[in-house]
Amino acid sequence: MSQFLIRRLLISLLLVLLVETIVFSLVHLLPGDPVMIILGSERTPDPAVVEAVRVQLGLDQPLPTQYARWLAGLVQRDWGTSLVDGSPVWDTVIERLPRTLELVTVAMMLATLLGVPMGIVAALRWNRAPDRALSILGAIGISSPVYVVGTLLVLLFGVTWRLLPTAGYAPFDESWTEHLRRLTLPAITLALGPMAIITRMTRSSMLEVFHQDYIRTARAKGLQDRLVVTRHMLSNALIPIVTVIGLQMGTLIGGSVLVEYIFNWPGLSTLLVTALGRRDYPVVQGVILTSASLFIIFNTIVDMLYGILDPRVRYS
Amino acid sequence: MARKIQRYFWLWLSGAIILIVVLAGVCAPALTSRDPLAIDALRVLQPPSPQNPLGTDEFGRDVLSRLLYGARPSLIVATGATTLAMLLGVFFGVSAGYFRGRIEQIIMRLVDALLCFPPILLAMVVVGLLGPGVTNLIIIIGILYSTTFARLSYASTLQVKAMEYVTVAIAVGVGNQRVIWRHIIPNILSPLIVQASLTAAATILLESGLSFLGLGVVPPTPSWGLIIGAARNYMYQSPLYVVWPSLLIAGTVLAINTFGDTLRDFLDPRLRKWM
Repeated sequence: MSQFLIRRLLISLLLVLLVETIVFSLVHLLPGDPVMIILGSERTPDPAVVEAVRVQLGLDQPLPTQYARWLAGLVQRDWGTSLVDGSPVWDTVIERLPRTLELVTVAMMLATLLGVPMGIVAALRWNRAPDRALSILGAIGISSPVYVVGTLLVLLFGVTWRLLPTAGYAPFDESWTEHLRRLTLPAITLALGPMAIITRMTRSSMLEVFHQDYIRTARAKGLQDRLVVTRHMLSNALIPIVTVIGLQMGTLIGGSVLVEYIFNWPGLSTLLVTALGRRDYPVVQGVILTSASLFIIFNTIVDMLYGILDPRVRYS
Repeated sequence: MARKIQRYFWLWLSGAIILIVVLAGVCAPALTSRDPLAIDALRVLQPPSPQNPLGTDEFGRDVLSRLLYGARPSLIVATGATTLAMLLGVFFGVSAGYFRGRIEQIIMRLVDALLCFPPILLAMVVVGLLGPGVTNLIIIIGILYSTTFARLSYASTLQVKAMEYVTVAIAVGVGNQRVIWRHIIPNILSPLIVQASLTAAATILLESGLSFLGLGVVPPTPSWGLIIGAARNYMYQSPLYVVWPSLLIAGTVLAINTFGDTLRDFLDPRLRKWM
């Protein structure tokens, strides 16, 4: 068991290293002079400015030195400074990260708490009205882009009914009711897609075990329906469900980009959008490094859970 | 039997909707006489009228014609990026699965690394630095989504290569090229076709999402994502303006996804079971 966990952790560390290398090389991989890309091509930059940016980014050093510095900096929480206001990138990212995590976590909880029961209902009422209705709703949920859902929710709740604030953020310790009110719409928007996918997965995974012999045995020996469903069906159907929940965590990080933008939620993604607009390269690097690392961490946790839930996985 | 008819019904219906959207984009000039770029400062944010069936936007431009023309960038990016993704992905995936060894290690680890980034983030960064535009979008999205094709064709190639007829073909001295083209590719094609339709849907979502953020298609060229992004600011004055493009994108993506899903059941009867 511990051997499996250690191996999985090592693989993730390697992936993080790979990702760091890609983020580092992004600036070098893109065609053209990185300094010119950062300064923007529409202006004709002053040579002194070009030189200053080059030195500030360490681009005047040979490539291996740059790479070594970059790696060492990452470990020492020295992620460079913003080109716009000179603030340390690490501090900005750390300030924003909890807000994005909060949004993603709340959305995931919503999606799981609603998606799993709906999937169970659909499986138990297979091919009847509830199942049909849920699968149509699910198809719509999967196909609607978050910014369409978000915009329409703003239109309904904010503009037409005036029930909820449509943008902004309120710190939790100042007013927790306001905080939650402002969290509601973005969280629902973000939760809709994963909820549809979790419902679908729960349904097919429950149907998968529905026809197993041990379910028939359990029913034949007179076990209550409720117990058959929870003990025998759900526990065996759980692995694919857990997997899909974990994978959705990753997708949510991507989805949060647009949701944060629509609702003006001051998380990592809003930071990325503004930083891109200002070509603030170190901040951009910091944000995608953080997001990709989060993505890897979530996937690692899923893989580990997978191994804990299903002993067969550990030895493959 | 009844279920079989129902299956085909969804396949035909979604296929027909896709065809209509494509035709609407291609034949936009024939369907509307109004110029999607013509500004009319006196008729701004008008409600639907005989002259402008879906009203006008914040510059007095006709919303209907903008939506019709706006299908073009989405469709061009979807087709271009999906084709590029498929070509790249199949090339690398089949090479990795067929030749194994070091090639396999390099290709598949690179794919793993690319899969660590949420696609929209990487696309945003590259577009943000290289500049927006349809060509850049096709290249970036194509590379990003080639990973799924690479994984899929890699796994299928491993499976097919282990088949006896491939072993025999190699044993009697058939060249690698010929084995790949005659024996591997035809046998891994059907999951790839399904994946292509699902990727096309994902591509439309990504393209319109980037355009929505202002990082995709360059204004004033109409594009669905751009139109939603602009209409969002005028929700109080003219709420329907934002509703039309929203329904259009969701409907198109829904049709493509349904097409892909039913196509999968159609091509692979084993999956049908009790789904």
